[in-house]
Amino acid sequence: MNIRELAKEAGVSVATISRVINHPEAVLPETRERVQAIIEKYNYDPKPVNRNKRFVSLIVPAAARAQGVLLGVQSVLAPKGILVNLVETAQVPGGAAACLQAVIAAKPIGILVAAESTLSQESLPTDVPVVLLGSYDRLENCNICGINYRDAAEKMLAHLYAMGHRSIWLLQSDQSYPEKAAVTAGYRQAAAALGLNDRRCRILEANDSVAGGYRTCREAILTEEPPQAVFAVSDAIAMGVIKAAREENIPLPDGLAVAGFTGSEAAAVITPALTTMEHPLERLGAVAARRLIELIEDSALYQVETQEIVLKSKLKIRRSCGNRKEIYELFE
Amino acid sequence: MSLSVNFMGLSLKNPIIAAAGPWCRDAAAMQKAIDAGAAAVVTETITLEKSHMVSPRIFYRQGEVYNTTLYSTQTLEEVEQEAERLHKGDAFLICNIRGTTPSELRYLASRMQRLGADALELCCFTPIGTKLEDISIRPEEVGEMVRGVTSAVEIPVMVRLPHHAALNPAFARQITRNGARAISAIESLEGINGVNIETAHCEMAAIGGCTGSHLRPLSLAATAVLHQLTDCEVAAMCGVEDWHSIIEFLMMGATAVQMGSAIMLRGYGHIAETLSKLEEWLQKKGYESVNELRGKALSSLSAFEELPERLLRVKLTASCGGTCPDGCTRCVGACLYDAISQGTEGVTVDASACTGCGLCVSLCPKKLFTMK
Repeated sequence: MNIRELAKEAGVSVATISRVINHPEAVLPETRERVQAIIEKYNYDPKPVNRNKRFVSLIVPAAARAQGVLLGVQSVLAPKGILVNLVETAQVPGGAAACLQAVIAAKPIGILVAAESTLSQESLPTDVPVVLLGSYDRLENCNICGINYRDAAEKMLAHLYAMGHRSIWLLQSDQSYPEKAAVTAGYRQAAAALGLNDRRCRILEANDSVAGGYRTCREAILTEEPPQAVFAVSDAIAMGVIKAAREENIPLPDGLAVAGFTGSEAAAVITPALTTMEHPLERLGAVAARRLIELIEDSALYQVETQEIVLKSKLKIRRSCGNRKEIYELFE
Repeated sequence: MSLSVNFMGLSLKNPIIAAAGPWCRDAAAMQKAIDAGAAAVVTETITLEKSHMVSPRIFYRQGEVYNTTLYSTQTLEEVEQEAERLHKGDAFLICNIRGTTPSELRYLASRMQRLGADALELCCFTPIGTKLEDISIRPEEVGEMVRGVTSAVEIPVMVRLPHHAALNPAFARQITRNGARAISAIESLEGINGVNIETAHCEMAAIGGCTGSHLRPLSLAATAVLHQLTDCEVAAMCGVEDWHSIIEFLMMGATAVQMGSAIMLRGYGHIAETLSKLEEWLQKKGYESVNELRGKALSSLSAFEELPERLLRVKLTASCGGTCPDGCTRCVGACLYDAISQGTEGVTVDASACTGCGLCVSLCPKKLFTMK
């Protein structure tokens, strides 16, 4: 008898059977008793997850950027009593692959790997459930949850264009980060689609900080022929650009439009309020953790399908790029 | 006499579905709707992350309801726990889901099937929040979202549409082609309940979803149009107020109706009361099944282009005498063709000037005009 037939017989859902086996404490007593009686009647012998090992490893390139994802992961795992072990790959010799090896040796019940496009199929374990966060074009049969950063960058450029700007420079981070290639690709794609030529669409790099944005703006943007708009890949860089422009008495946004990309809280309170992108990082963490739990708990009960889940970012239109309408600020 | 209808392959004991909304926010609330006789309940919109509540968020003004509750404040895990508590009996559980991409919806849909949903309602548009992005959704994008859901589950799927999309054949085509079984329409409309002109402040802090019986003309028309555009079954919503309006919707081609703010305003008992009055009327009229009502009024509805050119003229009924004692002269002021005038002997109609617009017939409080 399979779990579907069992669920039907007990008059409950598949999810309830799974919960009776894995989290009996979270099921109403009368439901639990009814389901357990049916399980015994049919000698159904599922194997609940080992309850002594209750931790999941979350591997991220940079812990400082992982806060949103971690919050989402925790919102799902903490109520289940599962601890999250955060591993940062940045300073580790051997990077993500080495971290993954070490994590596997510690025998977690599951692993979440955030945005490491360098991972190879061979480096992924087969005996412990893994969910990948980010974009992994080359991997097959993997459970992947990601955000479409390319689409987000396209949306931002299209907005700057719609605000009347025709020379729009991308201010990239000089460090590598997982979404870097997707953001550049989205920027290029949208620029080409809008007919903006290379001269009007330069890509510069800055250190990913307020100071980095400030320095690059002074040295390379506020030159003889500055652009009409700067699309910075982080709100920190954007704020550095704003600081430099203000020192030169350049009116914002009329003299220079500035957009961020990381949806920081401060973006709403600076003047002019910064147009930026809101990425569903918490939702990403939550859905990845949910997928992982399904793989851990349900793969013993039935075939769990491999899925790739892509989430979309939202444009937060404020004042820093030329928008003057309240309605955009209110409703995006 | 039977009230049961077959909707999306579910055999509903009657045509009343409790719509998604705060009146279905958790198991206890949905249980009240089921106990009051609803044939199915739709959950508050479920997404991958819970929403927050603003305050105040629900407003009432002369029959109009404005709601700024975006979606469920429960996590997916809490929703699953709630579903377990529900004693459905012979009623059905429909989960309303919302997501930003086909893959996100696909995942949500499979989770809902797993928690025991009997059907899904896909919410591609919402009147609250993220508005400007929503309104630009193309029919193809809706099609991809529907496909994401229908390919992930075996349970039937319906798609909720706002007024502008319900009247657009491209949406109906995409929805049908991608495997949805029904369309629910219309979604509440984007509304603001007024502006305080003394303080220059909106009466609501954000645009909300507006519903109420004053919007029924829009949902009646949408029901009729959808019935023509698609083979999908229609669950009419917005202005589903009482037994009388339910009959109207069914006669316009709806298979079932979704009752929402009427439950909130009149209590869950309103469902039971409506059902008993519906049954009473059907019995009195000699119907054997509520199914006999479906689309019954559609044959009296024509496309404008097909209406015959036929000149009718108004005349006053004999009982009138031409004078309204309370000094009412609304008909005189309203006649654009100067066909109605008030002389010393009272109101008279100049038949040669009348073009048969008919306004006076519905305008007169005493119903003193007829057309011939």
